[in-house]
Amino acid sequence: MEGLLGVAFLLVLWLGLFGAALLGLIGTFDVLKRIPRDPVLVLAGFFHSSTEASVPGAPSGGSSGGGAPHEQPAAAERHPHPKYVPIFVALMVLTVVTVLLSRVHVGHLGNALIAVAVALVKGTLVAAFFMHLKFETKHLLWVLLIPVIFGIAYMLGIFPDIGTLGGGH
Amino acid sequence: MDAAVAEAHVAALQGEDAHAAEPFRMSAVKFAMWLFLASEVMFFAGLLGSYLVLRFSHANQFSEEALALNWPLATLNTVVLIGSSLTMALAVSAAQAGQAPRTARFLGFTFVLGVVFLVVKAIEYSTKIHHGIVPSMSLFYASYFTMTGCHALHLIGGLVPVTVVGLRALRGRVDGGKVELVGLYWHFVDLVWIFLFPLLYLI
Repeated sequence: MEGLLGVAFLLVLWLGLFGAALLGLIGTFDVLKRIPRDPVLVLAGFFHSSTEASVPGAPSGGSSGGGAPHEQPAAAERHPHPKYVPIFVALMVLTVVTVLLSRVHVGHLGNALIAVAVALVKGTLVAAFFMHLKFETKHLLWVLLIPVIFGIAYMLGIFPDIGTLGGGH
Repeated sequence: MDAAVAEAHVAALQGEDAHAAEPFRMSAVKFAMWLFLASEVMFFAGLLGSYLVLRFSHANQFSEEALALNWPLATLNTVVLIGSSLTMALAVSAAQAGQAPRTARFLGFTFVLGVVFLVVKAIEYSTKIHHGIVPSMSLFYASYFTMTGCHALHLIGGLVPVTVVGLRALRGRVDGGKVELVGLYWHFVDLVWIFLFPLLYLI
């Protein structure tokens, strides 16, 4: 009974991950819209009124038709350049954070998960802004994410054996 | 039936979804670079995956050895490499604005920071080897040398195109598209290190 539940859970997880990825590849699911276009503007939005903060994430999203009259009419052909220095600073802060967090011991698995989580945030910043993935067609993201999903799948496939080893060798 | 398909295609092209009808609107070389990077993701996913599996099956031994690594030096290298990514991003935006001298300057910074990373890595390696720590010593050190070695090889390779486009920019010839491609590769190498650093040195 419990095994069956586990299988069902993995099935739903797989459907969610890989199904969403395939949807993204055929172009019906856009997660990039959920990443703010310019983190600095969003941060500024916290300190100013909320009306300004909503502008950078506005629906323009690369389609030339609904382009807003202000700011960047030429941005359709060349990518806009986000502010790189604040992103660099954020990456530095996260580097310090990950070093500090590694001093707090919460078990092998716990520390590993924390390290991976911070690395994922840093990696997302590099890919989204330094590599302009955020401003690229959304299809590209799925070309890259699908291999990663398979990578996670094969790790999950091997890990149960480690559980039986007990990890103490 | 074919006519209906063609009609739908034309409708898609004329309609609001013109962008959706031609999703990969980028140069072929840029798309090729992204495909290459996708295959590289798989290459490093294999390395990282096998490392993590080995690590958790030998948890105590591995973390003992991992703690013996020089994490302050690796932290310094993290700062250096992310810094090189910043200068590379600035070089790309300069190149796309057609500013050759600025492009050359930032590519120069990127090159120097890349070399600094490799020098620090070399110091780290030679100290290890001096203490008799070689890949054959243990599973952990075999993983350590393989992963950081493969990463360093990627970085060494990346210095070549940085040098080439940098020298061209120095002579006033700047191609935003090319510099962008080099930048993509460079940022990817940085991205790999962002994962290697905590997983090897910190846990």
